[in-house]
Amino acid sequence: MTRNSFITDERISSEGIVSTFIRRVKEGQLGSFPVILALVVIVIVFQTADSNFISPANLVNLSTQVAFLAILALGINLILLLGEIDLSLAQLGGLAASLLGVLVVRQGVPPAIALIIMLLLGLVVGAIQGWFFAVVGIPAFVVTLAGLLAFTGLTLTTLGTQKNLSMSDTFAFDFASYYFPAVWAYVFGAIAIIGFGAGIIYSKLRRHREGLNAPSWTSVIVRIVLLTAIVFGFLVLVNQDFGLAMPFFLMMVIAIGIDLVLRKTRYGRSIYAVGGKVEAARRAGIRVTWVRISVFMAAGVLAALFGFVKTGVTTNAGSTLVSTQDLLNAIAAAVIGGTSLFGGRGTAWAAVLGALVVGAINNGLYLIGFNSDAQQIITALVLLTAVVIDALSRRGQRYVGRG
Amino acid sequence: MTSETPEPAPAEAWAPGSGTDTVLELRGINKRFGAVQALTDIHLTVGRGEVVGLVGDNGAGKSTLIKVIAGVHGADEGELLINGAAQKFSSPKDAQKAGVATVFQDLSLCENLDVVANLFLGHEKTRSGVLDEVSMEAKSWELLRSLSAKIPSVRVPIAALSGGQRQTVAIARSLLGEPSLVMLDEPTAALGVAQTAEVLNLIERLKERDLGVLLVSHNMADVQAVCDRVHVLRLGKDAGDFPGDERTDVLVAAITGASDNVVTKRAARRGERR
Repeated sequence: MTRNSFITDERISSEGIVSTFIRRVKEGQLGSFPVILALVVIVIVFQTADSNFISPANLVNLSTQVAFLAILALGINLILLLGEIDLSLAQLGGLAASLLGVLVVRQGVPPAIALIIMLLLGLVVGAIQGWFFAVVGIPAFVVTLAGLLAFTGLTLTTLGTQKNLSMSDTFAFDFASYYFPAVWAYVFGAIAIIGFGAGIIYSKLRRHREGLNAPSWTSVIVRIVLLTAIVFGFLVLVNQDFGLAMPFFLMMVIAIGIDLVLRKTRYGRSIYAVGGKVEAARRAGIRVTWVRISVFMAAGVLAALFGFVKTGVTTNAGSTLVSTQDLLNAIAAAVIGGTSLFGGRGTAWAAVLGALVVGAINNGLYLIGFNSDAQQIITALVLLTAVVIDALSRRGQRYVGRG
Repeated sequence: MTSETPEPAPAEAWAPGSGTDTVLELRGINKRFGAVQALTDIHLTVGRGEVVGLVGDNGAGKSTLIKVIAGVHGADEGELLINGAAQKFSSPKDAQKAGVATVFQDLSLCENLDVVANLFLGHEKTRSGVLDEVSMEAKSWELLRSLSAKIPSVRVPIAALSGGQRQTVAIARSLLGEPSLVMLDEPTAALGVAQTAEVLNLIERLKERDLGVLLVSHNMADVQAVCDRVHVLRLGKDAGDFPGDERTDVLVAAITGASDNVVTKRAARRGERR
């Protein structure tokens, strides 16, 4: 055997799509595959049960419902990557929305300033909770449980004696009910696809030049074509109705942004490292305390944005805007999407795909006439399946590791 | 990378302050934790391209000594010279800058990250703020190839690697800082026969690269297999310096103090003569 044969092997052989997939299943690196499969199954089941499921009107409706859930799930997803949990985020969003409502409707504060105050509230509260967790050393579970209770009370205090507050004539409603003209929707879709395509082609060429194992042209083209089909299929359908909804657009921009930070920056890498093994991260010179606090701050801002979008969509800024159901759905979404509860494994797209699954189940069951009890039970079953897949894939990794 | 012929334990390395052939030199290190005198008057040298085993029973002070050299603890008394220059470390970072790389027993690797991410953790290469995965991966292959390391792919998470492969990655990572001294704390503990052999090969490769290696181990067979010299600690004191191929019973006697009066003193005398 030549000394470097194993390396030459790795560097020359360009893996086919199928063999890559089989290797990843064995190594427990399933990534987004189970959730995409689940989504396909859900779509097929509901489409056969009720042909309105993929109708333009329902897709527009679904995209708006999924948007705020996914924004909240993106926030929780970041905390889960650290291996922690935040129980307060939904209530924080509710508090921020009530503050916004009181400022705009009752005090007449200009919308832009009220929005900034609301987002700052999320940032500061996130920093405080993060500080209690990262510096004082109280488990995040306890800190945010206290937060959950405190924010529920603070929301009622903010609202004063009148617990109902309608946002129907405000900028929040205008924002949430804005639909892009068809042309703009296609332009955004094209930009996303060109950006994605250019990225993977550039990376392939550079890897090839450096003599590294590069993906084959087939897999590059397949990925681009698949993404194009999904994006434009969705856009063509929604454009037959109202069009691309602003909340969904905002959610996608946030998701792309978080995805790029997580995958392409040192900061993102440090989040995974802290979530994987704190001691190793510390020894590598990562400022663990700062990473933890900053992630809680980012999650706080995302929670405030969730409150903003949900208050716009539902035109409600009162005490009934959010419930723990929102929080549980968001945690479920992140975990269903493939983010590990044990920290360090997951992507931004897990939150989005998981929110799509949860949203599609709720929407589909509603269409075929099930009540919300059934929706919760089925979401629970999907969540349980997702956690089992997570646990099994971890075991798969250990199994391979024995070699 | 210098490719000079490695000279195992050159005689000059024994003379104190004899220039750059000595990577590490300890002179009269003392360390006290409250009422416990953990280290008393430790003298130790490691030459360039030399593998020195550090053995001793539990509580003999091996870990404390390693931590003093790695900058985790400061020594109360004594001198610490790296490449002939006196050093005072106030943190592990200082030690790393001076050229001391330490691979601890509990492996400071993130199991969820892949090999490339772990090798460069905390020192990632970037191109205009964006992680430069391509050049990091190329550099990883270069490094692993130079160590003849058996890693199936650098894009698998550490969790999917065997114990020996993990140890290889941990050692490879310590080399990225271009150290002159590598300290390995129990690198073969909990490894199977084949994996142990892999790690021992790796240690020989470090020697070929002209690095000084300080190997802490409980396993006499491993120590005898790769070490040029074996330094024994007992109850926080030097208990003799032996050639690497010394008989096991002699080493064990020194470790346990069974022959405190004859062998150890003879070995110490021999050490002074050199």
